[in-house]
Amino acid sequence: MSLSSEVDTLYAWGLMIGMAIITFALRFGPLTLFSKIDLPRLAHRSFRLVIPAVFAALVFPVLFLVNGAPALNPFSNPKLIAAVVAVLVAWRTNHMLLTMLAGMVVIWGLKWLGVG
Amino acid sequence: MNQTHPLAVIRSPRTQFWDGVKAQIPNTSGIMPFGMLAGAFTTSVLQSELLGVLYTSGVFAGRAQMVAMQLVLDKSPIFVPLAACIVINLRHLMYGAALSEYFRHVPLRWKILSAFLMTDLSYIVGYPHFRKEADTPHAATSLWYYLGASIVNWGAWSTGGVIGALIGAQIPPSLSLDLVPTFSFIAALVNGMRDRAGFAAGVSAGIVAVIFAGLPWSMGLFISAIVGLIVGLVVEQRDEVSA
Repeated sequence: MSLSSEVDTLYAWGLMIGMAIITFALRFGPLTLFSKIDLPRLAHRSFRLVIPAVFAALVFPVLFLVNGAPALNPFSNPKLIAAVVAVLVAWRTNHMLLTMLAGMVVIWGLKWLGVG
Repeated sequence: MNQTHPLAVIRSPRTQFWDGVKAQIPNTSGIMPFGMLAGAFTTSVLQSELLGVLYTSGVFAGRAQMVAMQLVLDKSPIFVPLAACIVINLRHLMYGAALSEYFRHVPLRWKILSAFLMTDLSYIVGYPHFRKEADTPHAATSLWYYLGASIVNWGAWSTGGVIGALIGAQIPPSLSLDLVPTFSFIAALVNGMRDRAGFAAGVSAGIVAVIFAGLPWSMGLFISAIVGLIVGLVVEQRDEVSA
């Protein structure tokens, strides 16, 4: 991991406090506001879909892009092989730890074999 | 035994809390390395163990933290990482909205604590439990399951963060620990995609996220989540009409 040159102290603390306030406000706001009013039925129907939508948006770019460019060849992008194994483990076990371990072990194994 | 008053069988806050703790413990092995990574990266960028720990345990938003530190390295003006922080954490609005109906009668102090502890993992473990107990007498104590699951999550994350801050930049990049969160999210993703609407939501959000990955401030993350939600709702609607 690369080290930066000097980062301004005020900047570092200001960013930390700003991020803490923003993050807390986004977590606290709806939790307390919406508990006072009734949300439309549509909102409730969409809550179940939040997990697949958000997590696919988090996971897909990491798996399918290398340095910002699409990488669909599993021999140059071993993350794809690891992801297939992780998906199979998740499908069969629905277990987060096993899924994560399966993916990481494949990544380390392929790296050790010199793939990618 | 067979004449027990209904109130007597309500699961106690203590039972709920420990069940939440137990449900979350398997996930800590994924969360701790990620916390370590975030703590180490932040410490090496800002050259301060204290700040490394405060960003990790106090802000408690790993993804936003990693992106912000990358932006600090790129010497961005402060509003850029702050804006990125808003966009990346917008998903908590959805978590908060989904959880809100179970917080109607929760005292303010527990709302504040619950909000501070809200993460992807506390939502994944906590929300289904709230739903499961919603129309049962146990609903009165469901909050404690959420708190148990969330506090373990924070503890594991923070422990990782402190270790990371102490060892600083010594984690070898060859371990690819930055992929740990991705693979740990695959379990929740696959589970959420088991039905047609969930599958449509996941695939569409994922494709849009790949297309928009280059947008500044991780804007693509939010756009693709919204697209995924809409596609999922449309598929669900069509399935209901044709059923």
